[in-house]
Amino acid sequence: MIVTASMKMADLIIQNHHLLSIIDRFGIQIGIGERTIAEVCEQHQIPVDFFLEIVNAFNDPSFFPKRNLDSFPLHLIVSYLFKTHSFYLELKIPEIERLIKKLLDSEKPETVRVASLIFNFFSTYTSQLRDHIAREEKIVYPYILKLEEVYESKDSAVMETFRKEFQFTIDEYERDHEDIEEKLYDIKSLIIKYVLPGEDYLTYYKILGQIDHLEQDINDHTEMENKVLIPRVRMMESFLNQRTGQ
Amino acid sequence: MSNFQIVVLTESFVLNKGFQVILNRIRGVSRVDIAQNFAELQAIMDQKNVQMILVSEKLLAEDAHIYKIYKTAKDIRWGLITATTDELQRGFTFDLQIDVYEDEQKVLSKISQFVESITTAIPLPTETELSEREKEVLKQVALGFTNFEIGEKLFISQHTVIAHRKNITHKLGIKTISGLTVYAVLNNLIEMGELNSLK
Repeated sequence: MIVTASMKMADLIIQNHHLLSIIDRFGIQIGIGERTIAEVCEQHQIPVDFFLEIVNAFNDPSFFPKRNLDSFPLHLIVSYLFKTHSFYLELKIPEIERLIKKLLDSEKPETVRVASLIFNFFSTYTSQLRDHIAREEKIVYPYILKLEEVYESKDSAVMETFRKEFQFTIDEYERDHEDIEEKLYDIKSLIIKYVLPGEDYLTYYKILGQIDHLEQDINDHTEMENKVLIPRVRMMESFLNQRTGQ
Repeated sequence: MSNFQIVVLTESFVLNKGFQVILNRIRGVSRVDIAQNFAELQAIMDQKNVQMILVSEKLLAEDAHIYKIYKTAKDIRWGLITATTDELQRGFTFDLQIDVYEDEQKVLSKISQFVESITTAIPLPTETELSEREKEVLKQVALGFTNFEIGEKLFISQHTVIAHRKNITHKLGIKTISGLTVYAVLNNLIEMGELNSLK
């Protein structure tokens, strides 16, 4: 189903409750009554077309790649990606850790043994994710924002200075997403295939549910970077290189 | 677990979508991307290891870039999507040919037979139990040794170590070293105490 501006915001969430975390990133909370998506977006000063693209892309992965997202300023996309980061770090990961720690408190040694293995694995995953995110936030995103500004200025002198100042190009931005995704996949496989949960099965189901949601959201995030952000940054970079004769 | 990646490349969005739905129902096909022109195809090929392209007659005949890929990319399998029963132009060969007017069963069985013939051609172990040798290698991997070090320890070549590791990953469905380590401890191949820290 393709989401449109005249749909009620509440209906959107009712049909896919995972979108709750998406609207949260836009600063929208529940209690939205019968208002349409257009009305809610206007109230929160969100460009409704942008909101629709994000929601549709999340709802239906094959909705990508979208030509429409190309028409939005990069800073809008970057600021959305920033918010997805805090969703992972401040909400999802602590929640998964809390569930695993619950198992660590068990009185059965075998439960503790298995849970501590999973906990260690998950910790290596999260520290890798944190590094990746820190790099994006400190280096990659600021570079992109600056690049867009310089590109929009259409001023050769400004471009020249920028190129001298920033040696970085987007190609150097190592794509370690893949290994990160593989770790998450492995945690899931290990739990599903090789853990005998005994009485703790409900906690394991919850952990799997949370990991699955995190995985889905990260995939969506990666798609947006690979299919929208990176190609546009490349385009701007090559424009700059032509203009500055590099 | 197979990872057969297909791109459907026709000028029609509706046709592409249709093929995507059909192909996704076929066992062994892991990912179907769609592209309507050369630029979209290239964007996909930049990121993924494409094994097969199903291309329409029109795009192959009219787009020089696509034709060039057809002529030069040797490790990609090609399928042709036609909307006519006419004879093919000379000089073209295809691994598979599908007519859009064929019925569902015919299209499905043609594609799935083809995919099966490809994926079974790749020799991979079918059993899931690790051999004693593989357990040895897994243990060393879990302890953090490199392929070179494992080879030295077990008196086998690095090449053999890599082959064992491939089989282990295939049998267990676990790709990362951290994941293999957890498996090794869970199954008592190594003791928790043997690990200084998990990588």
